[in-house]
Amino acid sequence: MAFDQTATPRLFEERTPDLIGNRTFGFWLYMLSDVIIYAALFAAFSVLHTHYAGGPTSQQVVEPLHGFIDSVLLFSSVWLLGLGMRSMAVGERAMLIAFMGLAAIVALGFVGFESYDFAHALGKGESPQRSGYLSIYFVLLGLHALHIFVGILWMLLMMVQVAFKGLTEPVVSRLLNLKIFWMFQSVIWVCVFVFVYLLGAVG
Amino acid sequence: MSQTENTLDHVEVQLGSVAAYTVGYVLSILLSGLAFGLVYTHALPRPVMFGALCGIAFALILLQMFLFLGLNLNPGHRWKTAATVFTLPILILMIVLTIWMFYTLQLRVMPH
Amino acid sequence: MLVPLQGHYSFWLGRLSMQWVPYDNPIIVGAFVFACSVGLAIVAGITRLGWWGYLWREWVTSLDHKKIGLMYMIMGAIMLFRGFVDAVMIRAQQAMAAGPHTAGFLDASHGYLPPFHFDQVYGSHGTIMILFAVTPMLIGMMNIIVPLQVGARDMAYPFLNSIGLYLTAVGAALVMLSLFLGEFSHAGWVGLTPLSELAYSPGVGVDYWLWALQISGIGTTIGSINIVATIVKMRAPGMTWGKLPIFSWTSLSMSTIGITAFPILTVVVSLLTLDRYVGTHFFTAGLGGDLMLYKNLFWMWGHPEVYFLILLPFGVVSEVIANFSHKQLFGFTTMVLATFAIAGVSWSVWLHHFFVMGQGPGVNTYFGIATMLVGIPTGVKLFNWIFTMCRGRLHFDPPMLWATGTLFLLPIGGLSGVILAMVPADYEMHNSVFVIAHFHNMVMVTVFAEFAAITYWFPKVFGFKLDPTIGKKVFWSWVVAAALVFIPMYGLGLMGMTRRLSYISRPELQPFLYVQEAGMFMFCVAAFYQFKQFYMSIRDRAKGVHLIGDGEVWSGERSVEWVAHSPVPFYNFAVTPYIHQRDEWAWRRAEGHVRAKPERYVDIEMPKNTAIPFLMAGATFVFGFAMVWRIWWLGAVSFAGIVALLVLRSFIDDTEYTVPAADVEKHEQQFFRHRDAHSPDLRPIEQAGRGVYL
Repeated sequence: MAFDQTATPRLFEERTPDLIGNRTFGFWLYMLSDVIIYAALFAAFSVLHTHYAGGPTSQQVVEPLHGFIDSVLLFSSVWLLGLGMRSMAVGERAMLIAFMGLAAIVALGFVGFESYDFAHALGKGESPQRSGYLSIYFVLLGLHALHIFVGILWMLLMMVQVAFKGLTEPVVSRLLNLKIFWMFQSVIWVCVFVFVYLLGAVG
Repeated sequence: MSQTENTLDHVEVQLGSVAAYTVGYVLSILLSGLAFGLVYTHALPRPVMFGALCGIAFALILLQMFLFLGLNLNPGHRWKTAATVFTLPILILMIVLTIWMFYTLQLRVMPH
Repeated sequence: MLVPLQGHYSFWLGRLSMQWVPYDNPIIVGAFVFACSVGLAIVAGITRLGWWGYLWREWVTSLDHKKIGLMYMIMGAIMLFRGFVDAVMIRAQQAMAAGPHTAGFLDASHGYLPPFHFDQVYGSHGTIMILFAVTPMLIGMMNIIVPLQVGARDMAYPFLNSIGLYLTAVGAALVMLSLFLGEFSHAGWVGLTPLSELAYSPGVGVDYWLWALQISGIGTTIGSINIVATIVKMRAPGMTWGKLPIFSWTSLSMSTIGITAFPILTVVVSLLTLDRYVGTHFFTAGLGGDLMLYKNLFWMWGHPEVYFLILLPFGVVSEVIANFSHKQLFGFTTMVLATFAIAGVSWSVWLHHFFVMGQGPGVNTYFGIATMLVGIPTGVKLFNWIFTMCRGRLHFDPPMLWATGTLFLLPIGGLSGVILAMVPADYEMHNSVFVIAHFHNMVMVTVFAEFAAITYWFPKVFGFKLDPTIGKKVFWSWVVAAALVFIPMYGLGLMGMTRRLSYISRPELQPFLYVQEAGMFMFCVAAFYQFKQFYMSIRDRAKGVHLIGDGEVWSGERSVEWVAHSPVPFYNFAVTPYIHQRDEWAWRRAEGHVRAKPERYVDIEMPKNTAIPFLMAGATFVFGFAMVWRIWWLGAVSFAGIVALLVLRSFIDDTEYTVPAADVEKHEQQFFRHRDAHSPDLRPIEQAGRGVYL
C-alpha cells in the first residue's frame, strides 16, 4: 500500500460534536425499532385476523367511518405540530407553544374517540379475552393509542420546557425528536387504518 | 442568546416547510378519504379492492415519509434515510414470510 | 380484566407467601447459604476497605464507557458462573439417570433432580447463558473498544449507556432472585407455548422469565442504538467508512441486528405476558389463539439473535489474527461484505428452528436454502483468516490460541448446521441432542472469541497483561473439555437421544454421558485456571513483569484503539487523532509517529456522573418484582418512580463538565513519566519499519 511520506501528516484534530444531529439520529433508530414492534404485531395480525373463535367478525367489530374520523384528527394534529416546528425554526416561542397546545388538544380528541370506541366494544362483550382476533385488535389499536397518549404528555412537558428554558440546544433536540415521534405515529396509523379498519370492514 | 441562534441555524431545525406540511396534510386526508369512500360504497369487487387499498396505503406512507418526515439525502438526513431504507426489507420479510408460512400451514394442518 | 388465579392472594403482597420459599430443598438451601456467604464476605470486605464511596463515585454513578463496559463484563462473568453451575447440574443428572435401574436421591426417582426442578435448571441455563452471560460480555466488549476504535471520548449517549447496563443487570437479578423466592420457568429458555401459558404453568416461574427477558431486552435495544449512533456519528476526523476497523464493522452489523430483532422479543414477550395476566388469546390452545404464532415470532427474534452472538466474535478473531500474524487482514472488503451478508440472511432463516411445524414444502425449501447460504459468507471469512495467517509471522500468545481455536470449531459447528438445514434430515434430527451439540459448538466460537478479546484487550484497559503461561493452560483445558462434552453429544443425537431429558430410558447411552461428565470436570479445571490467572496476574502486576508502555503490548497492534495510551485515561484521547489509514496504529509505527505529541492540549467536555440510571434500575427491579408477584400497587408506584426520574433528567441541562487543557497536559505528562520509568527496554518503534505494516 502506498502512502505519501513527504507530506507532514496531521496527527491530531479536535472537532465539535453535533449534539442535535447525534440525538435525532439515535431517536430515529429508536423509532425504527418501534416500527419493527408494529411490524411484528402486524405479522401476528396477519395470522389472527380470521381467528374469531365463534365470536364477532371483523365486519361486526370495526367502524370504517370512525377510523376515517380518527385519521382526520391525527393528520390534523401532525400538521399542527409541523406548523409549530416552523415557528420554532424562526424562534417564535409563543407560536410554538400555541401550535403544540392545539396539536395536543386535537390528539386528545383522537384518544378520546378511540377510547369511546373501545368502551362501546367492551360494552357489547367484544373484549380482548373473547377471541384471538379481538386480542390482536385491541393490542394493535391500544398500543397506537398509548403512543399518542404518551406523545400528548410529552408535548405538555415540552411546552413547560420551552416556556421556562427557552430554545436551548437540548430543548430543541427534544422538540425535533417529538416531531419525529409524532410523524412516525402518523405513518403507522396509515397501516392501522387501511389494514385493520378498511380491510377489516371488507372482510 | 447567541447559543439559541446557532441552535436554530442547525440544518435539522430548518428541515421542512409550511408548504410541505400543508400539502402532505391535504393529500393525506384526500387519499384516506378516497380509501374510506371505496370501502363505504363497496365500489370495487373484493380482490380489486384489496389491491387498491394496498396501493393507497403505499402512496400514503411514501407521501408522509417525504413530506412529513422529510426523507432525503441531504447531509443532515442521509443516515436516517439509509437506516430507513435498510429497515424496509426486514419489515417486508417479517410480514410476507409469516403470511406465506401460515397460509401453507393452514392448508395442511387445519383443513376446513 | 385480570385473569383469576388459583391459590393465595393478598392486596399488599400479591401472590407472595411463605409457601414460595423453597426452604425444604437442600440444593437450593445450599446455594442460598453459598450466595449469602459470598455476598456477606464482599460487603464486609468493601466496608473494611472503606470502598463504598469510591464504588459509588467511580463506578455506580459513572458514565465512562470503559467502566460501564467493565461492569457489563463482570456481570457477564458472574452469570457465566451461574449458568455453568446449571450445566454441571444438568450433566450430572443425565449421567446419573440413564436406565431404569439407576438410583434416585432427594425426591427424584432417578438421579437427584425431580423433573420439575430439572426443567427449571435447563431453562435457566439457556436463558442465563444466552441473555445474561454471553450477550453482556459482547456488549461490554463493544462498550470498551468501539469508542476507542472510532477515536471518540465516549459513546454517543453516555446516559443511555448506563441505563442499558442497569436494565440488563435488573433482568439478571430477577433470574437470580427466582432461585430463592418462587421458581423459574420450566418451559425452556424458548418458553414453549402452550406449556408456558397460565393454564399449564400456574406458578411464578414463567413470569420471572418473562419480566427478566422483557427488561433486559429493552436494555439490549438501547445499547444497540447507542453503538450504531456512536459508529455513524462519532468517528474521528479522517475516518471514512473504508478506514473503519473490522471490529467496529462487526459491532455495527451486530447492533443493527440488535435494533431490528430485539423489538420482536419485546412484542412476543408482551403478548405472552398479556395472555398470562389479562387473559387474551394470542398463543393459547383454543379461543383463536395460535401457538405456532409464538414459535414464529420468538424465532423471528431468536435467529437474528444467534447471529447477534456470532458476528462480533468474527470481528474479534479478525483483529487478533491480523495482530498475531503481523499482517494486514486479508480481504478486508469481502470480510465486511460477508459480515453484512450474514446479518442480512439472518432475516430469512428463522423457520429452520421449526421445520417440522407442518407448513408447506415450498416454505421449508426457501428457509432451508437461505440457511445453507449462510455457509458462503462464513466460508469467505474462514479462508480470509487462513490467508491472513499464510506467510505471516505467527505468535501463539493466548489471544491467538483462542482465535485459532475458533477456526477449528467454526467448520464443525457450521457444517453440522448445514446438515440441519436440509429439511428431510432435520425431520429426523429435530429436537435431538445433535441440535444441542451444534449450537453449543457455535456458542463455543463466541466464547473462545470472548476469551481472545479479554486476553487481547486486557492490557489496553488495565496496563498489564494476563499471565500467558496460565492462559495457555486455560485454553487447553477448555479445548479438552469442549471436545469431551460435545463430540459425544453429536453421537448421542444421531443415536436418537432427545433434548431436555431428566431421565434417559436407554442404559446403553450411559458411557457417553460419563465421557461428557469427564468433560464437565475439565471445565471445572479450566475455571480453576481462569481464577488463578486473574489472581496471579493482578497480584503480580506491580512487579513490572507484565507492565507495558505505549502501544508495545503484543508487538503487532494495528487499529486505532492502540493510539490511546495503555491503560486508557478517562478521556481516551488527549486530542482526537486524525485517521489516515484503516490500520492507523500500524501506519503510525511504520511512519515513526508513535511518540508524537499534540502541539497543544485543549479543554475536554466529559459527561458528569449521575445517580439517575442506578435509581431507575432500582425502581425497575421493584417494578419487575411487583409484576412477577402481581403486587399492583407496588408496580404502579415503581413505574411512577421510573417516569418521574426520566422527567427529572430532562430538566437537568448541566450534564457535562470541562477538563481544562492544563489538567489534561498534567495527566499526560504523568503518563509519559510513568511509561518511561517502567518501560526502559521498550524497543524503538521506528526500527519496526514498514515490514510490520505490510
